[in-house]
Amino acid sequence: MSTRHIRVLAVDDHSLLRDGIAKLLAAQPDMELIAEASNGREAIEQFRIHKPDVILMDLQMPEVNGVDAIVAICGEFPRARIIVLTTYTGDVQVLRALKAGARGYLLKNLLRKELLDTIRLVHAGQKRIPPDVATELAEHATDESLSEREIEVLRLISGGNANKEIGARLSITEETVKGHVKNILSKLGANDRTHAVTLGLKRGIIEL
Amino acid sequence: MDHSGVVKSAEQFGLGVAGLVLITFAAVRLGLQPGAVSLLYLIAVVFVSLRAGLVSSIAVSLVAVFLLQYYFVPLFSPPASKNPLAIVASLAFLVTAWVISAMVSRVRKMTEAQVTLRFEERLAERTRIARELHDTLLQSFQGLMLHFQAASDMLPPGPAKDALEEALDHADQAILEGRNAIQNLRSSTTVTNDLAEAIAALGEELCGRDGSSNSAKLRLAVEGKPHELHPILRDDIYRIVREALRNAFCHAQASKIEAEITYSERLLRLRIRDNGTGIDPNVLDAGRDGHWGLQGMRERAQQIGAQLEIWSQAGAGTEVDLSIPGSVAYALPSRRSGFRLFGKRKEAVDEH
Repeated sequence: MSTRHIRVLAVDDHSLLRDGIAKLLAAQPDMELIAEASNGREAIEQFRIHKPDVILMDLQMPEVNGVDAIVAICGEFPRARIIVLTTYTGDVQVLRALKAGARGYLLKNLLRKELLDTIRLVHAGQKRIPPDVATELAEHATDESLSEREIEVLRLISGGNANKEIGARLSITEETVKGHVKNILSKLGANDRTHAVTLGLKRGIIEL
Repeated sequence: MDHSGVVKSAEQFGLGVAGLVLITFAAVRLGLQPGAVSLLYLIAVVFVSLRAGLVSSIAVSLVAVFLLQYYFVPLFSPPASKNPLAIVASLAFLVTAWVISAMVSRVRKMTEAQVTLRFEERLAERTRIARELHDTLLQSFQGLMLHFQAASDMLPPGPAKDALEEALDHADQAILEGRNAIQNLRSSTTVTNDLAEAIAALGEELCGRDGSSNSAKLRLAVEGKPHELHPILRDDIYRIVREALRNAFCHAQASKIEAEITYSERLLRLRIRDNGTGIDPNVLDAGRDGHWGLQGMRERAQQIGAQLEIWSQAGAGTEVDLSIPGSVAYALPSRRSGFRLFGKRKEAVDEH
């Protein structure tokens, strides 16, 4: 095996996507897919075994999600080069991934055109974020972010739960839930609960 | 308690007393027995307490009891003999009125709760569908695109490769649209909670489009005090109105288009009128769906428990009348006006 190969680990819970990446990389003389993983826990294990040059990491996965896996891997190996693969452009999700230590961000609908270039760039030590994602990031740079509890409440709202049920699930009073909802609406600039869910999804605060 | 609340209570009280006086007058003319009179009073008091606030209801009941005690009973019994049962009868009267009112308002509340539950269920169902589509279909397509790209990379440059690349670009676009559609499944069609504002914006949007055939502008009127609406309900109303307006703007060749929103206690009513070519009666009756989207409007209306009527005549324009019972439309915000002793003001924070 030549040392000039970029050794890649692909992490995604959809096998069809991993297969696609494998096919695409197989045709490249300077790249090699050395391992695959279908969730964050497997990703950490595979990383320890293979020490790949670049990791392609999906964010929404069962068991251990992408951001948690990035935090764990970068905690052990700060020099790990991780590229996030995702469907959404939300600023909050991007920020979370970048703070965790990701070096690149790729939207899944751009994969076929930009995957290879992005792998090469990040391997060479650069950071890469698509322009429209960067714009989104700048737009909300000064916004007040939601607290952990508020995000939890928003997630439960998106599941169609009423305040009473949310209170029961989180073991807090309905009045407290109302307070959280009020804060969520004002921080997101939302008109009502449905609007807040829409904005939350768009910005990657919560996932589908 | 604000000033308008006091005025409204006084008004309700006045109307209630006027009703009692009318009954009294009729009873005296017809020579009705106290039993019959108290039954009529009972109906009047229940009616008032269901419509009016607490204070005006109590006041009207007391007036009724007073009239019975000191006017009707003495009419039929000698003034010397004080009947101790009269007080008991009055109390029984009040209790009966209270029980009937409480029962009716309980049934109403249950209906409201059911309506809200249905809205929440639909929201949850949408979420489920969106998640399913996102996790399966969308992800698979994105994976397949990579397979196609790998195949395309193997092709030598030439018309076959160009054709494939072009198809892939279109597919990218289609996937993007699909993704947006999935996201929209969970989001509201209107950015604003204000129905009037949303409809006005819609009017402007439709007016700008297809300008060659149409120069009409939307005239919008709002009557009554706007209420908060449940987002699902608001979306459905908005979609029905959008269809009606689109017909008026794009097909009717109208020169005048009007929309009217009326918020009354018992009804939320939206009317859209135009003076255009009208809809063919055959299409209207059969509900045959060419490009008018009538079927969709009717289905939506039925789903939210609204009544939809469409009048149209060739050359005489079209009128669409959508009315939703207040108990459904304003499902959660308090419907009761007048004095509110224990009720709290509802805010946007509550579930709509």
